[in-house]
Amino acid sequence: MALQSMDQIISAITAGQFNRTDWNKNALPTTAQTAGVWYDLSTGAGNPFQNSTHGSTTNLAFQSLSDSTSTTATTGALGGSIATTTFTDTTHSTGRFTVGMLLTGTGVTAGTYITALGTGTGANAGGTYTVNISQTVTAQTITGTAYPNGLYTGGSVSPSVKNILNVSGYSAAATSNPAVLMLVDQVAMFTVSSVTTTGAQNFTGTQTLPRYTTGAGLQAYIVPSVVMGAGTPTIQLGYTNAAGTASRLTPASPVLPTATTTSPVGSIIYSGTGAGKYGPFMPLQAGDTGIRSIESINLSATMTSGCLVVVLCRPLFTLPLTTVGIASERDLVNQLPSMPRIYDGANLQWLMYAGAATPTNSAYYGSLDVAWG
Amino acid sequence: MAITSFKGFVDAQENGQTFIGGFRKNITAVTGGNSWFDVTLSPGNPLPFYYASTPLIGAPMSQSANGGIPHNQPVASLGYQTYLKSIALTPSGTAGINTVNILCDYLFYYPFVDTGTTDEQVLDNTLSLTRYTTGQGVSVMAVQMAGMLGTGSPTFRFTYYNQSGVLQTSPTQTCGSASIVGELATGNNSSTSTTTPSSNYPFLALAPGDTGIRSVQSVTFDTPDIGLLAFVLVKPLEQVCLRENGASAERTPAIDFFDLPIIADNAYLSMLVSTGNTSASSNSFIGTIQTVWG
Repeated sequence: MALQSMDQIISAITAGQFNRTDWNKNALPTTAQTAGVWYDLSTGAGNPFQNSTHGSTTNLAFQSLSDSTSTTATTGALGGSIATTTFTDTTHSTGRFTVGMLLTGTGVTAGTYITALGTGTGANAGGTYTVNISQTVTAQTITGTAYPNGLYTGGSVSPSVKNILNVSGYSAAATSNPAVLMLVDQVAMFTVSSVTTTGAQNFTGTQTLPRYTTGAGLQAYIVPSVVMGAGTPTIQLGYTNAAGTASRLTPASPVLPTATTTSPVGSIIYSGTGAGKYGPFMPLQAGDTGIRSIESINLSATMTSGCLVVVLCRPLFTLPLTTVGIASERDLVNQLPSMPRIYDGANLQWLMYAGAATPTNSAYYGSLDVAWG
Repeated sequence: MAITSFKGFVDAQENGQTFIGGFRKNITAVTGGNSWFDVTLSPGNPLPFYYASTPLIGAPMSQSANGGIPHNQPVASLGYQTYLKSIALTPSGTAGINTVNILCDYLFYYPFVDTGTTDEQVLDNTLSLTRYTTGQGVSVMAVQMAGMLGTGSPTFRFTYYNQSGVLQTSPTQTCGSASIVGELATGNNSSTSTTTPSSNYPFLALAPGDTGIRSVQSVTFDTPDIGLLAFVLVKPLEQVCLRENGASAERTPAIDFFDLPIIADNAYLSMLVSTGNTSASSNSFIGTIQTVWG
């Protein structure tokens, strides 16, 4: 089944096969967004709650992403404690703690989550993190759970087919415009915490894509989940394209993508202006139209510290925001026919191109209507 | 019966199954720029509704009991549904502002939540939702009944039952700076501080995975302020955007923004206004809505 006429759309809406989502995402909280650079707003605060999966998994391991995905990190036995708003991971056990992770354990107040990194970078014993609720928790095993928190679009509808009908976006924060929003479906990620290692590092795990299984139309981008240290290495991915051809490489000509030194969390580290800057996606070899799997990442030089996340996603549409305080709207049925399809389990998140220097935490809002039939 | 095609849409109107309602709301106070405002408390036509009833006791809202923008008489018993055919909005004069206006079905409210205490305030839920009863797709907002100082951007959390009936604790919500009656407590925060993040959204953030809210159970402020809040459950229906000072905006959802909001029987309709990057003061919003049913 699928929506094949305007009458069918009306019929679907009447039957309740429709969902409206009002969303709000803030620009990233650590440093002002730089004009010309792309950002991943999924880890920004707002509604829905921030994506905390980025950087939460084992180094170099494949992790598929869907609306029901969760990942965890734990302290060792009796290795976690909270004093006022400081969570200490005295003896780390598994996974990686990230901002936005919900914490549970004996005596931990419901609704407690990590709001900022202290000396903790995810998996270092003795690392500290700031939490949202002041409390005292003596030595316990404390578990953090991360969720992607993508935009909700009505849940799974198979065998029906779900499509986007319209979208709006706007911001009234000073210098938050012009900007371009891009909606993507994040389908997989790889944590790369070994950022001081140079040369090719192979990814691990069986790479079974949850959606877009051939890789057609899938693209990759790279963002830090922990602020990066000094270093401007070139970056090259080894991948299998959507046709199943292996051993493809990010093209070295004219120049490989080059990381920006000390890139903040959420910034696409090779985006911007000038030589070696691309964005939002890593360039592919000529003729390639998608990525089925990513086999390796190669940093030409150390980035000193930090943690990267390689994200595999499917871009769905872009929405230009031209003027502060003026809403942008797009009717994807009449105005610009396309009605992008949303697959069951989709993990919808926003990327943003900053057209101007955008202050931290600048708020973006909007709505998204979908129907299925 | 139900409208399942454009022909059905036209036939319903030809058969007289249509209603045109008007409204005029005046924002008399000076809002901050970049803020969200609930015109439910503003004077005009329909009359303001102040969320003034017994403190902390939840109460349902409806057209028949409380008013709101008139839309239609109940039609479900006839086998019909009511649809929003069009909405038009005009700001008064050239002092109008670039705003985003969200038409909502106001479902339920909890009045007089005190921002001056850090004790947990337990809300009474003897009554429950009468529309969207599972809470699926329902949002919650904190409307100021008495203005807050906002010093230090106070934060709060609340517990609630989600759309599946599971008790949850919300993420921490951040209030804005000094604000006025009718503004949303978390909707006027233009902070760009790295330590006090903005929460400039109309609707409060829910716990991961939640897609609606059935009831609010309690509210706890982390730091005290002065002021009173009403927690209001709403179902957003449609937005209409004013893009030029003094200029009208019209929306026919089925034609120019392909959707077709369904208005539940006895819905209490009102609007949220985002003031854009300027303040809104002494502005009137004059509008009409047309509904059809079939």
